[in-house]
Amino acid sequence: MGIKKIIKLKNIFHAFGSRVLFNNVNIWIERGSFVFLTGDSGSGKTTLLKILHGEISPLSGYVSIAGINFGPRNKGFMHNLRRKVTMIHQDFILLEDRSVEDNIVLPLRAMGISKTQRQKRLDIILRTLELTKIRKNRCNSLSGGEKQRVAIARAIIVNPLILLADEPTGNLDNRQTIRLIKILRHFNLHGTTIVFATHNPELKRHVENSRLIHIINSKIQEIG
Amino acid sequence: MGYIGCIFEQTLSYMKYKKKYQLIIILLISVLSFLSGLFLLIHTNLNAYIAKKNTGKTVIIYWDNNVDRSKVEEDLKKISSIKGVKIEKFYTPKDAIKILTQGSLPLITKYSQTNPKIISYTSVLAVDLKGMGLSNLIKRLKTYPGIKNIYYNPNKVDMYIRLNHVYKCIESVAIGLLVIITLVLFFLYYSVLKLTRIKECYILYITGASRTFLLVPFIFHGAILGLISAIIGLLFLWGSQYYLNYLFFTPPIWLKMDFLTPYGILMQSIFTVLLGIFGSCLAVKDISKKTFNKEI
Ligand SMILES: Nc1ncnc2c1ncn2[C@@H]1O[C@H](COP(=O)(O)OP(=O)(O)OP(=O)(O)O)[C@@H](O)[C@H]1O
Ligand SMILES: [Mg+2]
Repeated sequence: MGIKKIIKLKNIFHAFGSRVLFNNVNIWIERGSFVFLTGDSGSGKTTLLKILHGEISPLSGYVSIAGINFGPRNKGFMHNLRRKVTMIHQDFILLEDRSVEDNIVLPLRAMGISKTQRQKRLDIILRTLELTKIRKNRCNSLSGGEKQRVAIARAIIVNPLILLADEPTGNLDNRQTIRLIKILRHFNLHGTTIVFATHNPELKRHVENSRLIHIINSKIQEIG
Repeated sequence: MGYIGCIFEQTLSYMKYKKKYQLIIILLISVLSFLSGLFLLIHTNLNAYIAKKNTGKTVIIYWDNNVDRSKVEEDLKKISSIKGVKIEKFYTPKDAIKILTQGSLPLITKYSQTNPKIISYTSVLAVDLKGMGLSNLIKRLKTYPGIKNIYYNPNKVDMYIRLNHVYKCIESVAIGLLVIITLVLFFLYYSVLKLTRIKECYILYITGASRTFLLVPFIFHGAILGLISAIIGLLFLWGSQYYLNYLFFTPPIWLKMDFLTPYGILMQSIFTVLLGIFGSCLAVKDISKKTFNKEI
Protein backbone atom coordinates (compact mmCIF):
# COMPACT_ATOMS: atom_id res chain seq x y z
CA MET A 1 0.00 0.00 0.00
CA GLY A 2 2.79 2.37 0.91
CA ILE A 3 1.92 6.00 1.28
CA LYS A 4 -1.51 6.01 -0.24
CA LYS A 5 -3.38 9.27 0.15
CA ILE A 6 -6.59 8.33 1.89
CA ILE A 7 -7.87 11.90 2.19
CA LYS A 8 -7.55 14.38 -0.63
CA LEU A 9 -9.06 17.85 -0.63
CA LYS A 10 -8.49 19.96 -3.70
CA ASN A 11 -9.31 23.65 -4.11
CA ILE A 12 -11.93 23.60 -1.41
CA PHE A 13 -13.99 26.73 -1.05
CA HIS A 14 -16.62 26.90 1.64
CA ALA A 15 -18.56 29.73 3.24
CA PHE A 16 -21.63 30.26 5.36
CA GLY A 17 -23.27 33.32 3.86
CA SER A 18 -20.54 35.96 3.63
CA ARG A 19 -18.37 34.18 6.21
CA VAL A 20 -15.65 32.47 4.18
CA LEU A 21 -14.23 29.47 6.06
CA PHE A 22 -12.02 27.86 3.43
CA ASN A 23 -10.55 29.57 0.46
CA ASN A 24 -8.71 27.33 -1.96
CA VAL A 25 -7.68 24.79 0.61
CA ASN A 26 -5.72 21.68 -0.33
CA ILE A 27 -5.06 18.84 2.09
CA TRP A 28 -3.49 15.43 1.54
CA ILE A 29 -3.47 12.89 4.30
CA GLU A 30 -1.74 9.55 4.05
CA ARG A 31 -3.24 6.31 5.14
CA GLY A 32 -2.42 5.47 8.75
CA SER A 33 -1.37 8.94 9.79
CA PHE A 34 -2.35 10.76 12.94
CA VAL A 35 -3.17 14.38 12.21
CA PHE A 36 -3.92 17.07 14.75
CA LEU A 37 -6.09 19.91 13.55
CA THR A 38 -5.91 23.21 15.39
CA GLY A 39 -7.29 26.66 14.89
CA ASP A 40 -9.10 29.38 16.77
CA SER A 41 -12.66 28.90 17.86
CA GLY A 42 -14.82 29.51 14.83
CA SER A 43 -11.99 28.94 12.39
CA GLY A 44 -13.79 25.96 10.83
CA LYS A 45 -12.37 22.79 12.40
CA THR A 46 -15.79 21.24 12.87
CA THR A 47 -16.83 22.28 9.39
CA LEU A 48 -13.73 20.71 7.88
CA LEU A 49 -14.35 17.44 9.71
CA LYS A 50 -17.98 17.45 8.56
CA ILE A 51 -16.81 17.91 5.00
CA LEU A 52 -14.59 14.87 5.44
CA HIS A 53 -17.55 13.02 6.92
CA GLY A 54 -19.77 13.82 3.95
CA GLU A 55 -22.23 15.74 6.11
CA ILE A 56 -21.42 19.03 4.44
CA SER A 57 -20.65 19.40 0.75
CA PRO A 58 -18.17 22.17 0.04
CA LEU A 59 -19.42 24.97 -2.18
CA SER A 60 -16.70 24.16 -4.64
CA GLY A 61 -13.72 21.87 -4.89
CA TYR A 62 -13.07 18.19 -4.97
CA VAL A 63 -13.09 15.72 -2.10
CA SER A 64 -11.83 12.16 -2.10
CA ILE A 65 -12.18 10.14 1.09
CA ALA A 66 -11.28 6.47 1.32
CA GLY A 67 -11.78 6.09 -2.41
CA ILE A 68 -15.16 7.84 -2.46
CA ASN A 69 -15.21 11.04 -4.46
CA PHE A 70 -17.63 13.88 -4.21
CA GLY A 71 -17.87 17.57 -4.77
CA PRO A 72 -20.37 20.37 -4.45
CA ARG A 73 -24.10 19.61 -4.76
CA ASN A 74 -23.47 16.07 -3.77
CA LYS A 75 -26.78 14.19 -3.84
CA GLY A 76 -25.60 10.76 -2.75
CA PHE A 77 -26.62 9.31 0.58
CA MET A 78 -23.04 8.14 1.25
CA HIS A 79 -23.77 5.59 3.93
CA ASN A 80 -20.88 3.58 2.53
CA LEU A 81 -18.57 6.46 3.35
CA ARG A 82 -19.89 6.82 6.86
CA ARG A 83 -19.45 3.13 7.57
CA LYS A 84 -15.73 3.55 6.96
CA VAL A 85 -15.32 7.09 8.22
CA THR A 86 -16.73 7.81 11.65
CA MET A 87 -16.85 11.00 13.61
CA ILE A 88 -16.84 11.92 17.27
CA HIS A 89 -18.99 15.03 17.31
CA GLN A 90 -18.07 17.94 19.49
CA ASP A 91 -21.61 18.00 20.91
CA PHE A 92 -21.76 14.18 21.15
CA ILE A 93 -25.27 13.88 19.59
CA LEU A 94 -26.43 11.03 21.79
CA LEU A 95 -29.94 9.73 22.31
CA GLU A 96 -30.50 11.02 25.82
CA ASP A 97 -33.30 8.63 26.71
CA ARG A 98 -31.35 5.50 25.76
CA SER A 99 -28.81 3.56 27.69
CA VAL A 100 -25.08 3.82 27.10
CA GLU A 101 -25.10 0.42 25.37
CA ASP A 102 -27.96 1.30 23.06
CA ASN A 103 -26.19 4.43 21.94
CA ILE A 104 -22.92 2.68 21.28
CA VAL A 105 -24.31 -0.20 19.20
CA LEU A 106 -26.53 2.01 17.05
CA PRO A 107 -24.09 2.19 14.08
CA LEU A 108 -23.64 -1.59 14.14
CA ARG A 109 -27.40 -2.06 13.96
CA ALA A 110 -27.61 0.37 11.06
CA MET A 111 -25.03 -1.78 9.28
CA GLY A 112 -27.07 -4.92 9.87
CA ILE A 113 -24.62 -6.65 12.19
CA SER A 114 -26.18 -9.42 14.27
CA LYS A 115 -26.82 -9.09 17.97
CA THR A 116 -24.20 -11.59 19.12
CA GLN A 117 -21.51 -9.88 17.06
CA ARG A 118 -22.54 -6.53 18.43
CA GLN A 119 -22.43 -7.79 22.00
CA LYS A 120 -18.87 -9.08 21.62
CA ARG A 121 -17.58 -5.81 20.27
CA LEU A 122 -19.57 -3.83 22.81
CA ASP A 123 -18.01 -5.60 25.79
CA ILE A 124 -14.51 -4.87 24.56
CA ILE A 125 -15.24 -1.22 23.81
CA LEU A 126 -16.96 -0.67 27.16
CA ARG A 127 -13.95 -2.06 28.97
CA THR A 128 -11.51 -0.02 26.91
CA LEU A 129 -13.28 3.23 27.67
CA GLU A 130 -14.10 2.36 31.30
CA LEU A 131 -17.82 2.46 30.73
CA THR A 132 -18.71 -1.04 31.91
CA LYS A 133 -20.11 0.11 35.24
CA ILE A 134 -22.52 2.57 33.67
CA ARG A 135 -23.44 0.54 30.61
CA LYS A 136 -27.12 0.37 31.57
CA ASN A 137 -27.42 4.03 32.58
CA ARG A 138 -29.38 6.45 30.51
CA CYS A 139 -27.33 9.08 28.75
CA ASN A 140 -29.19 12.01 30.27
CA SER A 141 -27.83 11.02 33.67
CA LEU A 142 -24.17 10.95 32.57
CA SER A 143 -21.46 13.49 33.28
CA GLY A 144 -19.89 15.44 30.43
CA GLY A 145 -16.83 13.22 30.39
CA GLU A 146 -18.92 10.07 30.38
CA LYS A 147 -21.00 11.33 27.49
CA GLN A 148 -17.81 12.15 25.65
CA ARG A 149 -16.58 8.60 26.10
CA VAL A 150 -19.91 7.20 24.90
CA ALA A 151 -19.55 9.31 21.76
CA ILE A 152 -16.01 8.03 21.31
CA ALA A 153 -17.13 4.44 21.84
CA ARG A 154 -19.84 4.81 19.22
CA ALA A 155 -17.30 6.09 16.72
CA ILE A 156 -14.65 3.44 17.28
CA ILE A 157 -16.88 0.38 17.68
CA VAL A 158 -17.13 0.00 13.90
CA ASN A 159 -13.35 -0.14 13.57
CA PRO A 160 -13.25 2.74 11.13
CA LEU A 161 -10.78 3.32 8.36
CA ILE A 162 -10.73 6.99 9.25
CA LEU A 163 -11.66 8.47 12.61
CA LEU A 164 -12.59 12.13 12.75
CA ALA A 165 -12.41 13.30 16.35
CA ASP A 166 -13.79 16.74 17.06
CA GLU A 167 -12.41 17.99 20.35
CA PRO A 168 -12.76 14.54 21.94
CA THR A 169 -10.81 15.53 25.05
CA GLY A 170 -12.76 18.71 25.76
CA ASN A 171 -14.58 17.16 28.72
CA LEU A 172 -11.92 14.74 29.92
CA ASP A 173 -9.48 15.11 32.80
CA ASN A 174 -5.74 14.83 32.27
CA ARG A 175 -5.47 11.15 33.03
CA GLN A 176 -8.32 10.29 30.71
CA THR A 177 -6.96 12.54 27.98
CA ILE A 178 -3.66 10.69 28.01
CA ARG A 179 -5.53 7.40 28.14
CA LEU A 180 -7.68 8.35 25.18
CA ILE A 181 -4.67 9.39 23.15
CA LYS A 182 -3.18 5.97 23.90
CA ILE A 183 -6.36 4.20 22.80
CA LEU A 184 -6.51 6.21 19.59
CA ARG A 185 -2.83 5.58 19.02
CA HIS A 186 -3.53 1.88 19.38
CA PHE A 187 -6.23 2.08 16.68
CA ASN A 188 -3.88 4.22 14.63
CA LEU A 189 -1.16 1.62 14.76
CA HIS A 190 -3.68 -0.92 13.50
CA GLY A 191 -4.35 1.16 10.43
CA THR A 192 -6.98 3.74 11.38
CA THR A 193 -6.22 7.18 10.03
CA ILE A 194 -7.04 9.77 12.65
CA VAL A 195 -7.85 13.46 12.30
CA PHE A 196 -8.02 15.02 15.72
CA ALA A 197 -9.35 18.56 16.12
CA THR A 198 -8.22 20.22 19.32
CA HIS A 199 -7.50 23.53 20.98
CA ASN A 200 -4.48 22.01 22.65
CA PRO A 201 -1.48 21.66 20.28
CA GLU A 202 0.50 20.26 23.23
CA LEU A 203 -1.20 16.91 22.64
CA LYS A 204 0.99 16.38 19.59
CA ARG A 205 3.86 15.56 21.93
CA HIS A 206 2.10 12.37 22.97
CA VAL A 207 2.00 10.92 19.47
CA GLU A 208 5.17 10.25 17.55
CA ASN A 209 5.25 10.98 13.85
CA SER A 210 2.03 12.93 14.01
CA ARG A 211 1.24 15.93 11.86
CA LEU A 212 -0.28 19.20 12.93
CA ILE A 213 -2.44 21.26 10.62
CA HIS A 214 -3.51 24.73 11.58
CA ILE A 215 -6.44 26.63 10.13
CA ILE A 216 -5.88 30.34 9.93
CA ASN A 217 -7.46 33.02 7.75
CA SER A 218 -9.38 30.48 5.66
CA LYS A 219 -6.12 28.72 4.81
CA ILE A 220 -4.24 25.68 5.99
CA GLN A 221 -0.82 25.82 7.57
CA GLU A 222 1.28 22.74 8.06
CA ILE A 223 3.06 23.19 11.36
CA GLY A 224 4.83 19.89 11.69
CA MET B 1 -31.25 -12.36 7.87
CA GLY B 2 -28.97 -10.08 9.86
CA TYR B 3 -30.04 -6.96 8.07
CA ILE B 4 -33.77 -7.74 8.16
CA GLY B 5 -33.45 -8.61 11.83
CA CYS B 6 -31.84 -5.24 12.43
CA ILE B 7 -34.65 -3.47 10.59
CA PHE B 8 -37.19 -5.14 12.89
CA GLU B 9 -35.06 -4.29 15.90
CA GLN B 10 -35.02 -0.69 14.84
CA THR B 11 -38.82 -0.72 14.48
CA LEU B 12 -39.12 -2.17 17.99
CA SER B 13 -36.77 0.45 19.30
CA TYR B 14 -39.01 3.15 17.82
CA MET B 15 -41.94 1.57 19.61
CA LYS B 16 -40.06 1.26 22.87
CA TYR B 17 -38.94 4.85 23.30
CA LYS B 18 -40.81 8.15 23.42
CA LYS B 19 -43.99 6.43 24.52
CA LYS B 20 -45.65 9.66 25.56
CA TYR B 21 -45.39 11.08 22.06
CA GLN B 22 -46.59 7.83 20.57
CA LEU B 23 -49.61 8.01 22.84
CA ILE B 24 -50.39 11.46 21.49
CA ILE B 25 -50.00 10.15 17.96
CA ILE B 26 -52.25 7.16 18.62
CA LEU B 27 -54.82 9.49 20.15
CA LEU B 28 -54.74 11.71 17.05
CA ILE B 29 -55.10 8.88 14.57
CA SER B 30 -57.72 7.13 16.72
CA VAL B 31 -59.86 10.25 16.58
CA LEU B 32 -59.37 10.28 12.83
CA SER B 33 -60.25 6.62 12.54
CA PHE B 34 -63.28 7.07 14.79
CA LEU B 35 -64.60 10.07 12.88
CA SER B 36 -64.21 8.50 9.46
CA GLY B 37 -65.75 5.28 10.80
CA LEU B 38 -68.65 7.22 12.27
CA PHE B 39 -69.21 8.85 8.94
CA LEU B 40 -69.15 5.51 7.16
CA LEU B 41 -71.52 4.01 9.73
CA ILE B 42 -74.08 6.79 9.53
CA HIS B 43 -73.74 7.02 5.78
CA THR B 44 -74.44 3.35 5.13
CA ASN B 45 -77.23 3.12 7.69
CA LEU B 46 -79.02 6.28 6.61
CA ASN B 47 -78.74 5.34 2.96
CA ALA B 48 -80.24 1.96 3.68
CA TYR B 49 -82.95 3.57 5.81
CA ILE B 50 -83.91 6.09 3.16
CA ALA B 51 -83.81 3.49 0.43
CA LYS B 52 -86.03 1.17 2.46
CA LYS B 53 -88.62 3.91 2.70
CA ASN B 54 -88.97 3.77 -1.04
CA THR B 55 -89.14 0.11 -1.88
CA GLY B 56 -91.92 -2.35 -2.59
CA LYS B 57 -94.24 0.00 -4.35
CA THR B 58 -96.94 -0.40 -6.90
CA VAL B 59 -97.18 1.52 -10.14
CA ILE B 60 -100.20 1.14 -12.41
CA ILE B 61 -99.97 1.97 -16.08
CA TYR B 62 -102.91 2.68 -18.33
CA TRP B 63 -102.37 2.69 -22.04
CA ASP B 64 -104.30 4.90 -24.42
CA ASN B 65 -107.56 3.46 -25.70
CA ASN B 66 -106.55 3.45 -29.33
CA VAL B 67 -103.18 1.75 -28.85
CA ASP B 68 -103.11 -1.70 -30.32
CA ARG B 69 -101.92 -4.78 -28.56
CA SER B 70 -98.61 -5.28 -30.37
CA LYS B 71 -97.48 -1.79 -29.30
CA VAL B 72 -98.51 -2.48 -25.71
CA GLU B 73 -96.61 -5.74 -25.67
CA GLU B 74 -93.58 -4.01 -27.05
CA ASP B 75 -93.77 -1.47 -24.21
CA LEU B 76 -94.23 -4.25 -21.66
CA LYS B 77 -91.15 -6.00 -22.95
CA LYS B 78 -89.12 -2.83 -22.51
CA ILE B 79 -90.53 -2.20 -19.04
CA SER B 80 -89.89 -5.72 -17.85
CA SER B 81 -86.23 -5.37 -18.81
CA ILE B 82 -85.78 -2.50 -16.33
CA LYS B 83 -83.99 -3.72 -13.23
CA GLY B 84 -86.12 -3.83 -10.11
CA VAL B 85 -89.40 -3.71 -12.02
CA LYS B 86 -91.66 -6.71 -12.23
CA ILE B 87 -94.90 -6.95 -14.21
CA GLU B 88 -97.33 -8.25 -11.67
CA LYS B 89 -100.53 -8.18 -13.68
CA PHE B 90 -101.64 -7.38 -17.16
CA TYR B 91 -105.18 -6.81 -18.25
CA THR B 92 -106.59 -6.41 -21.72
CA PRO B 93 -109.63 -4.09 -22.04
CA LYS B 94 -111.76 -7.24 -22.16
CA ASP B 95 -110.35 -8.50 -18.88
CA ALA B 96 -110.90 -5.11 -17.41
CA ILE B 97 -114.58 -5.09 -18.34
CA LYS B 98 -115.02 -8.58 -17.01
CA ILE B 99 -113.34 -7.79 -13.74
CA LEU B 100 -115.16 -4.51 -13.44
CA THR B 101 -118.54 -6.05 -14.01
CA GLN B 102 -117.80 -8.82 -11.54
CA GLY B 103 -116.59 -6.13 -9.19
CA SER B 104 -113.69 -8.21 -7.97
CA LEU B 105 -110.84 -6.00 -8.80
CA PRO B 106 -110.54 -3.63 -5.88
CA LEU B 107 -107.32 -2.20 -7.19
CA ILE B 108 -108.84 -1.05 -10.43
CA THR B 109 -112.07 0.17 -8.91
CA LYS B 110 -110.13 2.03 -6.31
CA TYR B 111 -108.21 3.95 -8.89
CA SER B 112 -110.95 4.23 -11.46
CA GLN B 113 -111.23 7.91 -10.61
CA THR B 114 -107.69 8.40 -11.84
CA ASN B 115 -108.55 6.81 -15.14
CA PRO B 116 -112.10 7.45 -16.33
CA LYS B 117 -111.48 5.38 -19.42
CA ILE B 118 -110.79 2.30 -17.41
CA ILE B 119 -111.42 0.03 -20.33
CA SER B 120 -107.88 0.00 -21.69
CA TYR B 121 -104.78 -2.06 -21.52
CA THR B 122 -103.62 -1.94 -17.92
CA SER B 123 -100.60 -3.28 -16.17
CA VAL B 124 -99.73 -3.41 -12.50
CA LEU B 125 -96.00 -3.16 -11.83
CA ALA B 126 -94.32 -4.29 -8.64
CA VAL B 127 -91.46 -1.89 -8.22
CA ASP B 128 -88.47 -2.57 -6.04
CA LEU B 129 -86.22 0.37 -6.72
CA LYS B 130 -83.91 2.02 -4.23
CA GLY B 131 -83.00 5.64 -3.95
CA MET B 132 -84.00 7.90 -6.81
CA GLY B 133 -85.13 4.88 -8.80
CA LEU B 134 -88.87 5.37 -8.50
CA SER B 135 -88.97 8.95 -9.63
CA ASN B 136 -86.59 8.09 -12.46
CA LEU B 137 -88.83 5.22 -13.47
CA ILE B 138 -91.88 7.48 -13.59
CA LYS B 139 -89.96 9.99 -15.68
CA ARG B 140 -88.99 7.23 -18.04
CA LEU B 141 -92.45 5.75 -18.35
CA LYS B 142 -93.82 9.16 -19.18
CA THR B 143 -91.65 9.21 -22.31
CA TYR B 144 -93.48 6.15 -23.74
CA PRO B 145 -95.92 7.56 -26.31
CA GLY B 146 -98.62 4.92 -25.87
CA ILE B 147 -98.92 5.32 -22.12
CA LYS B 148 -101.77 7.59 -21.21
CA ASN B 149 -101.75 7.54 -17.46
CA ILE B 150 -99.51 6.40 -14.65
CA TYR B 151 -100.69 5.92 -11.15
CA TYR B 152 -98.33 6.02 -8.22
CA ASN B 153 -98.29 7.53 -4.77
CA PRO B 154 -96.63 10.89 -5.30
CA ASN B 155 -96.24 11.57 -1.60
CA LYS B 156 -93.74 8.82 -1.18
CA VAL B 157 -91.64 9.94 -4.12
CA ASP B 158 -91.69 13.55 -3.02
CA MET B 159 -90.80 12.60 0.51
CA TYR B 160 -87.94 10.54 -0.70
CA ILE B 161 -86.63 13.34 -2.89
CA ARG B 162 -86.90 15.82 -0.06
CA LEU B 163 -85.33 13.46 2.45
CA ASN B 164 -82.58 12.64 0.05
CA HIS B 165 -81.94 16.30 -0.60
CA VAL B 166 -81.66 17.16 3.08
CA TYR B 167 -79.46 14.17 3.66
CA LYS B 168 -77.16 15.02 0.74
CA CYS B 169 -76.78 18.58 2.06
CA ILE B 170 -75.89 17.39 5.55
CA GLU B 171 -73.59 14.81 4.06
CA SER B 172 -71.60 17.28 2.02
CA VAL B 173 -71.16 19.51 5.06
CA ALA B 174 -70.03 16.46 7.03
CA ILE B 175 -67.58 15.47 4.29
CA GLY B 176 -66.16 18.98 4.22
CA LEU B 177 -65.73 19.03 7.98
CA LEU B 178 -64.23 15.57 7.92
CA VAL B 179 -61.69 16.56 5.31
CA ILE B 180 -60.66 19.62 7.29
CA ILE B 181 -60.42 17.68 10.55
CA THR B 182 -58.48 14.93 8.79
CA LEU B 183 -56.00 17.39 7.38
CA VAL B 184 -55.50 19.10 10.74
CA LEU B 185 -55.11 15.85 12.68
CA PHE B 186 -52.89 14.39 10.00
CA PHE B 187 -50.67 17.45 10.06
CA LEU B 188 -50.42 17.24 13.85
CA TYR B 189 -49.57 13.55 13.62
CA TYR B 190 -46.86 14.10 11.07
CA SER B 191 -45.38 17.02 13.01
CA VAL B 192 -45.30 15.16 16.31
CA LEU B 193 -43.74 12.13 14.65
CA LYS B 194 -41.15 14.28 12.96
CA LEU B 195 -40.18 16.10 16.16
CA THR B 196 -40.03 12.84 18.08
CA ARG B 197 -37.67 11.08 15.69
CA ILE B 198 -35.61 13.84 14.18
CA LYS B 199 -32.59 13.25 16.39
CA GLU B 200 -32.63 9.49 16.10
CA CYS B 201 -32.86 9.69 12.31
CA TYR B 202 -30.00 12.16 12.24
CA ILE B 203 -27.83 9.90 14.40
CA LEU B 204 -28.65 6.92 12.22
CA TYR B 205 -27.77 8.96 9.17
CA ILE B 206 -24.39 10.11 10.48
CA THR B 207 -23.52 6.64 11.72
CA GLY B 208 -23.99 5.01 8.35
CA ALA B 209 -27.65 4.07 7.92
CA SER B 210 -28.75 3.57 4.34
CA ARG B 211 -31.94 4.98 2.84
CA THR B 212 -33.63 1.63 3.33
CA PHE B 213 -32.66 1.47 6.96
CA LEU B 214 -34.07 4.91 7.61
CA LEU B 215 -37.22 4.46 5.59
CA VAL B 216 -38.41 0.90 6.22
CA PRO B 217 -38.48 0.79 10.05
CA PHE B 218 -40.13 4.19 9.97
CA ILE B 219 -42.85 2.91 7.67
CA PHE B 220 -43.37 -0.15 9.86
CA HIS B 221 -43.56 2.15 12.84
CA GLY B 222 -46.20 4.29 11.14
CA ALA B 223 -48.15 1.20 10.10
CA ILE B 224 -48.15 -0.18 13.65
CA LEU B 225 -49.29 3.16 15.07
CA GLY B 226 -52.01 3.23 12.41
CA LEU B 227 -53.14 -0.30 13.20
CA ILE B 228 -53.35 0.32 16.95
CA SER B 229 -55.30 3.51 16.28
CA ALA B 230 -57.62 1.71 13.86
CA ILE B 231 -58.48 -0.84 16.53
CA ILE B 232 -59.06 1.83 19.17
CA GLY B 233 -61.13 3.89 16.75
CA LEU B 234 -63.28 0.89 15.84
CA LEU B 235 -63.80 0.00 19.50
CA PHE B 236 -65.03 3.50 20.19
CA LEU B 237 -67.22 3.32 17.12
CA TRP B 238 -68.70 0.08 18.36
CA GLY B 239 -69.51 1.73 21.66
CA SER B 240 -71.01 4.78 20.06
CA GLN B 241 -73.22 2.62 17.88
CA TYR B 242 -75.11 1.60 21.03
CA TYR B 243 -75.57 5.19 21.97
CA LEU B 244 -76.77 6.09 18.47
CA ASN B 245 -79.29 3.28 18.56
CA TYR B 246 -80.48 4.47 21.92
CA LEU B 247 -80.87 7.92 20.34
CA PHE B 248 -82.60 6.98 17.09
CA PHE B 249 -84.35 3.69 17.68
CA THR B 250 -87.41 5.46 19.04
CA PRO B 251 -90.65 6.60 17.45
CA PRO B 252 -91.11 8.03 14.93
CA ILE B 253 -87.73 7.28 13.37
CA TRP B 254 -87.07 3.67 14.31
CA LEU B 255 -83.64 3.88 12.77
CA LYS B 256 -81.62 0.86 13.75
CA MET B 257 -77.89 1.31 13.20
CA ASP B 258 -76.04 -1.76 12.06
CA PHE B 259 -72.31 -1.91 12.68
CA LEU B 260 -69.93 -1.76 9.73
CA THR B 261 -69.79 -4.88 7.62
CA PRO B 262 -66.57 -6.92 7.73
CA TYR B 263 -65.70 -5.29 4.43
CA GLY B 264 -66.33 -1.85 5.94
CA ILE B 265 -64.18 -2.72 8.94
CA LEU B 266 -61.41 -3.88 6.64
CA MET B 267 -61.61 -0.73 4.52
CA GLN B 268 -61.66 1.43 7.61
CA SER B 269 -58.59 -0.31 9.04
CA ILE B 270 -56.72 -0.13 5.76
CA PHE B 271 -57.52 3.56 5.51
CA THR B 272 -56.14 4.21 8.99
CA VAL B 273 -53.01 2.11 8.47
CA LEU B 274 -52.37 3.87 5.17
CA LEU B 275 -52.70 7.21 6.94
CA GLY B 276 -50.12 6.03 9.46
CA ILE B 277 -47.74 4.91 6.73
CA PHE B 278 -48.25 8.04 4.66
CA GLY B 279 -47.56 10.27 7.68
CA SER B 280 -44.40 8.39 8.60
CA CYS B 281 -43.16 8.50 5.00
CA LEU B 282 -43.73 12.24 4.88
CA ALA B 283 -42.02 12.70 8.24
CA VAL B 284 -38.90 10.74 7.32
CA LYS B 285 -38.70 12.44 3.94
CA ASP B 286 -38.96 15.81 5.62
CA ILE B 287 -36.37 14.97 8.24
CA SER B 288 -34.04 13.76 5.54
CA LYS B 289 -34.52 16.83 3.41
CA LYS B 290 -34.30 19.43 6.17
CA THR B 291 -31.75 17.92 8.56
CA PHE B 292 -29.30 16.29 6.26
CA ASN B 293 -30.24 17.78 2.98
CA LYS B 294 -30.70 14.46 1.19
CA GLU B 295 -33.67 13.08 -0.67
CA ILE B 296 -34.92 9.71 0.51
N1 LIG C 1 -24.70 25.64 9.57
C1 LIG C 1 -24.07 26.81 9.72
N2 LIG C 1 -24.66 27.93 9.27
C2 LIG C 1 -24.07 29.12 9.39
N3 LIG C 1 -22.88 29.30 9.96
C3 LIG C 1 -22.23 28.22 10.42
C4 LIG C 1 -22.80 26.93 10.33
N4 LIG C 1 -21.94 26.06 10.87
C5 LIG C 1 -20.89 26.77 11.29
N5 LIG C 1 -21.04 28.07 11.02
C6 LIG C 1 -20.08 29.13 11.31
O1 LIG C 1 -18.86 28.74 10.73
C7 LIG C 1 -17.79 29.09 11.57
C8 LIG C 1 -16.94 27.87 11.85
O2 LIG C 1 -17.64 26.97 12.65
P1 LIG C 1 -16.96 25.64 13.22
O3 LIG C 1 -17.94 24.99 14.08
O4 LIG C 1 -16.42 24.88 12.08
O5 LIG C 1 -15.74 26.23 14.08
P2 LIG C 1 -14.72 25.45 15.00
O6 LIG C 1 -13.38 25.72 14.48
O7 LIG C 1 -15.12 24.04 15.13
O8 LIG C 1 -14.91 26.19 16.38
P3 LIG C 1 -14.79 25.58 17.84
O9 LIG C 1 -13.34 25.47 18.13
O10 LIG C 1 -15.42 26.63 18.70
O11 LIG C 1 -15.51 24.31 17.85
C9 LIG C 1 -18.40 29.69 12.82
O12 LIG C 1 -18.29 31.09 12.70
C10 LIG C 1 -19.84 29.28 12.78
O13 LIG C 1 -20.62 30.29 13.34
MG1 LIG D 1 -15.91 22.91 16.55
